[in-house]
Amino acid sequence: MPPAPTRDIGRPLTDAPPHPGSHRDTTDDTSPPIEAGSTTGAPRWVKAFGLIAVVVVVLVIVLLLTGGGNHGPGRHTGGDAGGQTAPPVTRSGPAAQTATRHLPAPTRRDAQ
Amino acid sequence: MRSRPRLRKFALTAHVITSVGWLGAVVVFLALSVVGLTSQQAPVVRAAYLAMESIGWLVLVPLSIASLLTGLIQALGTKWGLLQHYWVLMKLAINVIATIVLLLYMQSLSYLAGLAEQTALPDGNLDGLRSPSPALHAAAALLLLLVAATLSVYKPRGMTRYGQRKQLQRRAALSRTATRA
Repeated sequence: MPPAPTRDIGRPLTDAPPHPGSHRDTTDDTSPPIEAGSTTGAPRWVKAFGLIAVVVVVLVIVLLLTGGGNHGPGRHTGGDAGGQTAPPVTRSGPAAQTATRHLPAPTRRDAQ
Repeated sequence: MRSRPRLRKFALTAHVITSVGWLGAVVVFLALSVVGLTSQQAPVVRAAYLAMESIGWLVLVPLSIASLLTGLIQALGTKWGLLQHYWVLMKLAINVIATIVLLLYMQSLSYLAGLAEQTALPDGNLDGLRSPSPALHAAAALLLLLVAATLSVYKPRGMTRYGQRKQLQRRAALSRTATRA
């Protein structure tokens, strides 16, 4: 009978603590890694995401100001659509059998 | 505020199901919006907009809210916390923004569906119904949700200042316990 392997003798049953600065496998959603030396500012990936977010927000604002001024839910829910009276739209679906919605007429942008 | 392991697993499962389900529903919505934009057949275009509204109210909105709530439970019930790690914080921002925009956009979608339902709408007037807006919103939502899903899997490192303070407090408590033992 061969002798039992001895390489695990003396090894603790629990996992060794992660090396400081290392990023332990985080597939376990219940145990966040210990992040030593993380007292600096935000990591690069956060800064990159922040930069992208700022660029996207600026682009959206520019688009809204230049060409899409009537973008948004308000364009469909306003009380008066270009001085026109809103025609009633009767819904026949199951959720609307008892309700009649009065929706504004399509705006010029919608008709394009 | 730590939950028990079994409860944690359940909350995690619920969060994964609702979040991935939301992502899948957005893909379906995007496909319908492309059909509504490109189809030459009036009944198909009308059906696409009506289906989009139904998917919006019956699938997207419930799943987005469920994903947000289960995510909050998951974050607050584990050691990850809600505001301690950048990736959790970023996912929270994505979820909140996407849910708010979705709820606002449902008004526009209901309007388009109402237009598609009008029996008096002549077939030649389909251009008044077609709108690139649903496809644009769905594409943006898909991108955001893909980023959120990727963050969930990779969990990139990086703690907020608040998280660093909490970690220092935990370490101090641990060392105190160790010295007593």
